[in-house]
This record gives sequence, structure tokens and C-alpha cells, in this order.
Amino acid sequence: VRDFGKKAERFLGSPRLAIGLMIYLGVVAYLGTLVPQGSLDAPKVAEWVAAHPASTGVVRFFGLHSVYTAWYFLLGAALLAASTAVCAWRRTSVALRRFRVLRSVARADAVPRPDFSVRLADGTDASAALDSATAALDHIGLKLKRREDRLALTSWPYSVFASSVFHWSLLLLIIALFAGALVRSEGLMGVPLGESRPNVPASYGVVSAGPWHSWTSVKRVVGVEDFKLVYVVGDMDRGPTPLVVIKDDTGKVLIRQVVYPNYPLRHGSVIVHPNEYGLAASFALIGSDGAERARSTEVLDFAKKETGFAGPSAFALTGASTAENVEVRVRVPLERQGRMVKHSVPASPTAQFAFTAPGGKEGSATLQPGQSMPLPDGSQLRLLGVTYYARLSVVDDPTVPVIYFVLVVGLIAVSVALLARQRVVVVYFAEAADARSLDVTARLWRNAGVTSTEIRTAIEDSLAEREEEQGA
Amino acid sequence: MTTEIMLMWASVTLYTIGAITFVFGAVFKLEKVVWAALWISLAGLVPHGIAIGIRWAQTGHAPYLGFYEVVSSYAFAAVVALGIIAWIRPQMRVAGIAIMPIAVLMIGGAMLAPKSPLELTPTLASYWLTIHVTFAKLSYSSFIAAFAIALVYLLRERRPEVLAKLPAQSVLDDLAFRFVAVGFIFLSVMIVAGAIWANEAWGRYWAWDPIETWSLISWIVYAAYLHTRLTLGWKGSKAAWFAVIALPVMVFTLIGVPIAYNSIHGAYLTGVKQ
Repeated sequence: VRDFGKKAERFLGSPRLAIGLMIYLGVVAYLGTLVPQGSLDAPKVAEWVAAHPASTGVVRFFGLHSVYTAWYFLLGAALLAASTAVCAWRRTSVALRRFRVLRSVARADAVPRPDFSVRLADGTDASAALDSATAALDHIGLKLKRREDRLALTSWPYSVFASSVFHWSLLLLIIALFAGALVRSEGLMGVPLGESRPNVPASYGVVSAGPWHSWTSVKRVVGVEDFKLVYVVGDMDRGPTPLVVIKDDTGKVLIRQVVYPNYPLRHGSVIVHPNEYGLAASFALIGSDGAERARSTEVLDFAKKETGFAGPSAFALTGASTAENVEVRVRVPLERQGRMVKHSVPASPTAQFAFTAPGGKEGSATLQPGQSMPLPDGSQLRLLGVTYYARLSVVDDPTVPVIYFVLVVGLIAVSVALLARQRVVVVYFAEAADARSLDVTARLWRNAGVTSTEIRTAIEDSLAEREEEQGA
Repeated sequence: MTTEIMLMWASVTLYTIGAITFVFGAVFKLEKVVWAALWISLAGLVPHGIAIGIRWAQTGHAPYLGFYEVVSSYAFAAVVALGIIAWIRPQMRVAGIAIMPIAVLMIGGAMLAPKSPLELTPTLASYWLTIHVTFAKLSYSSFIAAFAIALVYLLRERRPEVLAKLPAQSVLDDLAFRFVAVGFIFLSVMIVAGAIWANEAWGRYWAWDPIETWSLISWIVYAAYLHTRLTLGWKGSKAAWFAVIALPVMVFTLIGVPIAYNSIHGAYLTGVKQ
């Protein structure tokens, strides 16, 4: 097992594997840009499939319409995470060693093992030799500080941890993204003006949630209390803007705020954005005895290709509210201004209802608020009103702050890792019975800016020049 | 023709003369001509900068909306990058032989594009836009500088007698690496700022939109460059080739993707919200 572990560690810690995996993920990511992705736009996927029947088989086989959740992409990401973990671990060990070296060399009484010595001419004064070395090293960009019989330059000791911190951040980011996919929920919820919806899957038109997401741990209700087609902030119309309220399950208001692009509503891990708007027709089902049996609201979107109507939307009247199951379609005629259709609630709103009942019975009517149309079972459908609805993007993701934190830490770490120098240079005067020398310890790890040879040459040339001057 | 357009044509002219003069000076080893080429190119920044300023004042926003503004500002950033290189290492001014033709192509492309200003939409109206775009331009400038230095490195490797007065090859190699390192940091900031902004504007920090994906691909390409250099010890011509090949990926990400792909993210360049 230990042997296997070592082999696995060697394999995963290989820089070639890390580079290969990055390139592999880059290529797979590129493939994902060639065809529409289901996660982004399902209708476009359907359009693409219809337009490219010859390629559909290959694309489906490789799951290219959902490439970023395909097994071969996730496997690559998992391997990269493992490789990053091994790499981060190794870098931490190296950083600790370098940190100890930096701290020990920085001590005033430390006598580090020299990497090379530059022999001094007989009678050379220690102070003069160190002065020469200071000037020489300054010339090649090394500013050493003088401390009695030595010169020292040590970089910021904690900079040696930057690379390992960056790699740990990358690993944490991958884990946080994966955790986010498990606990996150996101969807589009249509909420008519003056109404509210519980934050449960049934309230959403489109919704996706990770397997670990809990809809019941925090119970919230999302409502829209006001809606403005034009909302000006700072000289700019922010577009259709709803006033959104989040309440708890007892009806207590937790937060109330207008939402427009770049100004979302936040409450805990929930973030609410405006996505779109449309009209909503509310109606009641009145029994043959004149009593109201049910009340509901249908949301109606403006068509992408202009039809002059909001909607249609189809719904079924079933169960206890009607004696017969009836299919109903509703749409709202829109006002025109010249050739333009106004995407707003008409001054005198009406709704067109059409129904199909069992046995082929059909009927239709255009109703104003308060007007009713008869249904085959003797009941009546009454239009209560036409108003706006706001389609809200509701995202619940507790991992977002973690992801932001990791990104910021990673950014700082990668900046330090790439820009900060990691080096230590110590020059000290050594005197033995038969010779005097300048002993040099140089640990030039990353972004050192100079080489050992350059340091040696600079000191030797400087001392030689000095001796020549003295000889002259 | 408006003052802005006249100034733009003046900078096109100066950049073009600068590019031709750079090639002439480098080929015939005429030091003074290379110096002149640098100053002509940098002089082009003056009308270009004023034109950008006029546009900025007229539209009320920095040059980040529409092909004309975006690509013209990238040309401006490229010439500024040349100025920075020449300031850090005056001998490296010859990098203009690689940078100026790119700048001319970009500003030429911008001049051919429609120039009607795009409106700042509520989605774009955020301080994150400024951060995001600023770091995009900074990263692009750094990468184009690295590209030019790497190209000069490769040129001199094949014909050492040309450009003999430049710093040692090891210095060029290190300089190219430093520009890539700085560009990588800027690119990372751009991506992180973009992710945070996307969450503010759309409610998701990452959606595998083509521009997001290509930004990640660019990041991976430059991360691979840094990895090969720092862990595999790739230096010299290998690293130079890498820096040269990587730039088109970055340019495609910034300019090509919004045109090639049908993406909501591309509205900043095409002005069309698809």
C-alpha cells in the first residue's frame, strides 16, 4: 500500500501531469463552446439538434451539450484537484524549509555554511572589503545591509509560502465549486404584483437544485409589492423594476428592496435578481351557486416575435373546483402606439379566454375585469384583473462567500509568488590562521534576479579593482 | 469629419509610419531610425489619447463599448506597452517591430467599424465594469509586451548579427517572463472581477458563456507557460515560442469571441443583446 501511495504521489505530483491536465481541460472547455450548452439555453440545444441532424449522434455520444458536467470533464477536474493537492503539499514542505533558512540566516549571530569564498589579499581590512562588496553587489541590484562584520539581504520570509497558499487556494476553489453544485439552488420564479410565492420548487417555472439542497431548512416567501416600468437611478433608467419582499413563514418581513441589474436583493445565502417581466391575469372560478370556488393568476410573457398579445398561457381547471376538467387558454391584447406594441398593462385591460371541455365543447370570450364567461358545467370564469408580474432569478448558494474569499486569497498569493523575490545573500568576513576571505552564502530560489556566478564575479572584480588601485 | 475622427486618422498615420520606420531601422541596423520610429509611434498616442478623451466626454463612459472603442483602446494599450518597454529597457525599443504592426491592424480595424456610440445599459452600469475592463487592457498590454520581446528573442537567436546592441538573450528571456507573470496576475484579477460582477448582474458567477470559457482557456494557456518555466525549467526559445503562440489566444478571447459566438456577454463589443 505504501509503495502504491508513493507511486500515486509521484504520478499526481508530476508537473507534466498538471500541465497536461490543464491543457486537456482547456481543450474540453473549447469543445463546449462549439455547441450550445443545455445548462445555458435548452431551447438553443433543441434548435441546434434540429439544424445539425448529421452531427447529433456524435454530439450526443460525447455528451457535448452538457460538456461541463460530462464524466470526462469532471474526471479531469478531479485529477487536477488531486494533482494540485499533492503539489500544494510539496510546496508547503519546501516553503517551510526555506522559511527556516531565511529565519536562521537572518539571525545576527548565525554563521551559515558558505557557498563560496573570495580570498582577500594579505592585510586587507575587513571593513574595506565589505565596503567593496557592498558597492559591487549594489551595482548588480542587491542592496545588502551592513551588520558589523557581515552584509545580509533576506527577502520577506513569508513570501516563500505564497506558491503553496496559491495551490491550496486552487484546491479549495475546486472543492467549493463542487460543494456549490451540491447545495446550490437556482431558478426563475414568476411573481405577480401584489402576490407572493413560497420558496419551494413548485413556485418556480425553471429550477435546478443540488442533491444536498434543503428547501425546508429555511422557509421563505418571496413577494412583489410594487412594480415600475421606468426606474431612474443616477440619471439612468434601470428598466422594469420590482419591489421585492422576502418574508418568513409567519409573514414577518425579513427584507424589502427594489431590484434591478447590479442591485440584487440579498438575504442570507439567497440572492434575487430581476430577470424579465410580463403581464398577469388573475381570475376566479364562480360556482353555479354564485360562490367563489377558486382563485388563481396566470403569468403571460411578451412573445419574442411580436403578436400584439401577452401570452397565451394554457392551464387546466381540474379537481374540486370544476365538475369537468377544462383546458383554458388566456392572453391579453396589448395597446399600440403607432406601429409599436406597448409592453405594458393597457389603460383598459381585457383578457381573451378560450376553453376546451370534454366532448369537444368549446367557448371563448373577451373579458374586462369583473366580467365572467360561462363554462360547460354551469360555473363561471371571472376576470379579476390584469397587472404586471416580475420573473425573478432566485439563487440560494451558501458557498459564494467562500468562493470569493478563496479567489481573493489566491489572487494575493499568486501575485506574491510571481513577483516577490525569494532569496537570501549573506557576505561575511572570515579570518583563519593563514588567510582572510569574504565567505558568501547565496540561496537564490525564485525571482532572484541574479545568479551565484554574477555575485561571485561582482565581488571578485570589485576587490581586484580595489587592490589594483591600492597597488597603484 | 469630426475632430475625433480626424485625430484618429492622424494617429493611424503616425502608427503606420512608426511601424514602417521600425522595420526599416531594424533591417538596415540604423539606430537613429529605430529611435525615430519609437518617437513617431509614441507621438501617435497624443492624437489617439485626445480622440479617446473626446469620445469619453461625448458618451459619458470609458472606451469599452462597441468594436470601434474597444479595439481602438487595445491599439492604444499596445503602443503604451511599447513605451513602457522602452522606458524600462531603452535598448528594447526595437520591440516596436512586433508591436506596431499589431497596433496598426487594430486601429485600422477600429476605423473600419461603425462608430455610433453604444448606450450604457443597466447591466453594464457598474463599477465592476471599470475594474474588469481596466485589468483586461492591462493584461493584454503585458502579454503583447511579452509577445514582442519573445519575438525579438527568436529573431536574434536565428540572426545574432541583427539587433546586436540589445541586452543579452537571458535578459530578454527574463523580461518576457516578467511581462507574462504580471499579465497573468492582471488576467486573474480580470476573471475574478468578472465573476463577482456576473454574480451581481445576473446571479451566477460562472455560466460557461463562450467569453468566460475563452478567458479560462487564456488563463490556462498562460498558467501552462508559467508552469513549464517554473517547474520544468523551460527557458530561451521554448519559452519564447510559448509566449508568441499564446498571444493570439488572448486576442481572440478579447476581440474574436464576441464576434464569433452568439453570446449575451458579447454585447459590449457588438452592441447586440442576443
